[in-house]
Parts: sequence; structure tokens; C-alpha cells
Amino acid sequence: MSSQKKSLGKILFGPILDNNPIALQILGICSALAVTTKMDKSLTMAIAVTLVTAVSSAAIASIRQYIPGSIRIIVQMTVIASMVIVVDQFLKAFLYDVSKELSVFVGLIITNCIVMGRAEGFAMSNNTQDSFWDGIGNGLGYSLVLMVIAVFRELFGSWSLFGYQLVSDEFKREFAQGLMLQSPSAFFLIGLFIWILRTAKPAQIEKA
Amino acid sequence: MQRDSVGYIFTVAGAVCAVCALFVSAAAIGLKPFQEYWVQVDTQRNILLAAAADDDERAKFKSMSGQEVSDFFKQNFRNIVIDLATGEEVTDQYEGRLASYRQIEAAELRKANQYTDIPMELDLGQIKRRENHSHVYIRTDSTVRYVFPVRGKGLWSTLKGFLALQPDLKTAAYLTFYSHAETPGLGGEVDNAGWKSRWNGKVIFDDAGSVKLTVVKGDSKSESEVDGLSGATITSKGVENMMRYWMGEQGFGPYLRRVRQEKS
Repeated sequence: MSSQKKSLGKILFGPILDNNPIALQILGICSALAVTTKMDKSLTMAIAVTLVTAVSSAAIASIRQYIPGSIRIIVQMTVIASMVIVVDQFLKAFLYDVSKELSVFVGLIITNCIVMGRAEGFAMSNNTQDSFWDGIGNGLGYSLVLMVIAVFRELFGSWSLFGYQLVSDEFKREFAQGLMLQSPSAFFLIGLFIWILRTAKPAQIEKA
Repeated sequence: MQRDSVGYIFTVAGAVCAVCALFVSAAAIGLKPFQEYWVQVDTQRNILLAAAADDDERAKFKSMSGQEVSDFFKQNFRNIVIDLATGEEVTDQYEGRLASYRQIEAAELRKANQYTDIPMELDLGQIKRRENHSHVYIRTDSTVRYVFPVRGKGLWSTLKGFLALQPDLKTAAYLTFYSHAETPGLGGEVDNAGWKSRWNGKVIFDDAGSVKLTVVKGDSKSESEVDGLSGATITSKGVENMMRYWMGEQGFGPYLRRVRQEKS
């Protein structure tokens, strides 16, 4: 158990800029590359990951005293996987079109390192309530990066935001950046995001 | 019980699995009606897209809400089921379960008495089994279209889609695919709107009623040739074979003959 108790505000908002799961912990990059071509896809994914992280962290924290150390990772995976399937079923029932586009990536939340990382790194040694807020916070940190990248990719790749086209068809044909719709562009954008973040907060720079 | 004893580990593992399984099953079963509604809307939307009069109407169908799609479908389409071997209509056998009859499942999951093995030499679409009964969707408002579910193997995957015929039942109107896994950018271009609209007006049958449509390399020279996709020879050939199969005697041939006779 942690000796100094962290305040709720720190648990919730710390992961957004100070300890961002993508920018500082470098977790969850795979899905950040895959789903950020459109904002509605990214938003759905962000909400799904936030929910899964929060609920599974809370669930794991609530039974953490009973989980035998030798099978703790498997127990965590089981809880996370169940949660992801439930979320996937909800998406299929109420957001069919988005879920079709997200296809396999909803299922792959199971392997999203953020969820696993928070379960093992935080929920196993903190109480239920803190773990829940920690999950929400990390989900929000992930969401922030996802949405920022999606804005740039959708704007310059298809000249639209949330599927709403901002320019004429001729303009789009002339100036749409195909690269923005390909995965490598997300790498560049995440790199730029980390660069800007670490310039603003030099404490995040690793010692060479 | 000791916390690291084998018995304790099994108890915890079992309990976690049981609780998780309960949640997953509850979600899957409880949400099934909603999911099936969307699957149905998705199918109907694809049928609408195939049966659209022109690209403007197609764009309209694409942006319709789920409710609008099923309303439009209900008002303007007649959904019948036919016996593929005889071409006879057997819709009355499906009363109350017309929408839930999934013909591809009937063939692929080998449902008893619902499918026929296709002899290898006749299996142009390489689908191995064919359902005995198939849906046909007839658009009955100002734009009359006959929409047939078709499928066949391309290079990597089975292409599944809908072919819309003009009311003369000889000329194609549009061809859509709702599921395939061909190479993006090459065979995947079967889904390209430009290519799909080339099917409009292509004459599928010769005067004797056999299939004469071909997918060719280079410019199409006659009304029965469709310009194939460059870099996707095998996918193009697959689409051609799919057409020959489903428009031929093994597919909708008997039904088409019957309707043409009724009309003349």
C-alpha cells in the first residue's frame, strides 16, 4: 500500500498531462495509430477505453486481497476481457456503424497496455475508489492524445471534422493529404505531441 | 484456506470466471435484439444501394437513418423467397420468419435440408455449397429493380454482395459488395463506386437466355463486356464467374426464365 495518500485531483488529472499514458508511459500506441483517422471513431474508442480502464481497475481493486499472486495477471486479463466484450456488445447494439469501422480494434482493447498497466501498476495496490478514478484519469489522458491526433488527421486527410466536410469537393481533391490517413502520420503526430509536451514540462525529459 | 494453496487458486479462478461469464452472457443475450435490428438495417441499406436509380439517390440512401432505411424498405420493396432449383416462389413457407432467414448461413453452416452440394465442375463461384432457397428483393415504386444476393470467391476471400437487374431482367443496373477481403487498392477496388457504376446497362444474357457477360482486360467493346480492374485479374475473373454462376442454371436462371415468361 502506498504510504503517502494521493489526492483525488492528482489521481484524476495527473495522467492527462503530467503522466500521460501515451506521451510519457508510451502505452497504447497501437490503437492510437489505427483508429485516429476519423474523429467519431477516435471518440468512441476513447470512451470505450476510459470505461474499460475505470471499471476493470475498480473491479480488480475490489478483489485485490483475494487474488493469489501466482495467477494475478490471468485474473486481471479475465476481468478486462469480459469488460471489453460487454462494451463491444453495447457498441454493436447502439453504435453499429462506428463499431463496424472500429471492427477488431474494440476487441483489441484487451491488449491495450494502458488497461493492463493500470490494473497491475495501480489497482493491485490501491482501494476501489481511487482505482476507478485512476482508470478514468488515464483514460482521459489517452483520449486527449487520441482526439488531438484525430483532429489533425481528419482535418488534413479528408478536410472534415466529425464527418462534416468543411471545404468544397474540388478543394478536397486538390489538397487532401493521403499520408494523414496512413498509420505513419500518427507516429509523426504523436512524436510532435511528445516534443511539445516535454518542451513545456522539461521534468518529463529522460536523462540521457 | 491458505492463500497460495492449489485449492484456493482454483476456487478464485473458478469464481472469477463464473462471475465474468455471467456478465458477458447477460450482455450478449440482453442486447441481441438491438444488434439484430442493426444487422437487418445494414442488409436493407445494401439492398437499397444496389437498387438505387442513380448516384444521387444512392447518396441519399447512404445518409438515411436506420429507421428511414427500414421504412423505405417496407414501403417500396417486396421481399420474396424462391426455390433456386425450380424458380418457384416459396415465400409462404417463411411466414413470420422472412427477415430472419439467413441464406448464406444455411449453406455455410450446412443446415439440414437447406443446402445442396455443388458439383465441382459447376462450381464457378467456388462456394462449394448453395442454399436451396434464396431471397429476392423487388423494388416496386417508380424505379423497378430486381435485387439478387450473390457471392463467389475472388483472390483471397468470398465476395458477398447484391446484383440489381433492370425490369427487363436481362440488363444489369448495379453491383454492390458488402463483405470482402481483397487486396486494398487492387482487388479491393471492386467496392469502388466508379467501377460499380460501369455495370449499369450491361446486358447479361444473350437472346437464348444464357449468360454472355464477361469481364475483360482493357476497354469494353460490347454491351456485354465490363472493363476489369487493373492489377486485379483474379478478383475480376472471380466477379465474372460469380455472375455466370448466379445468373446461370445453378443460380437464379430458372426463376428469371419463369418471370420473363410471365411478363411476355
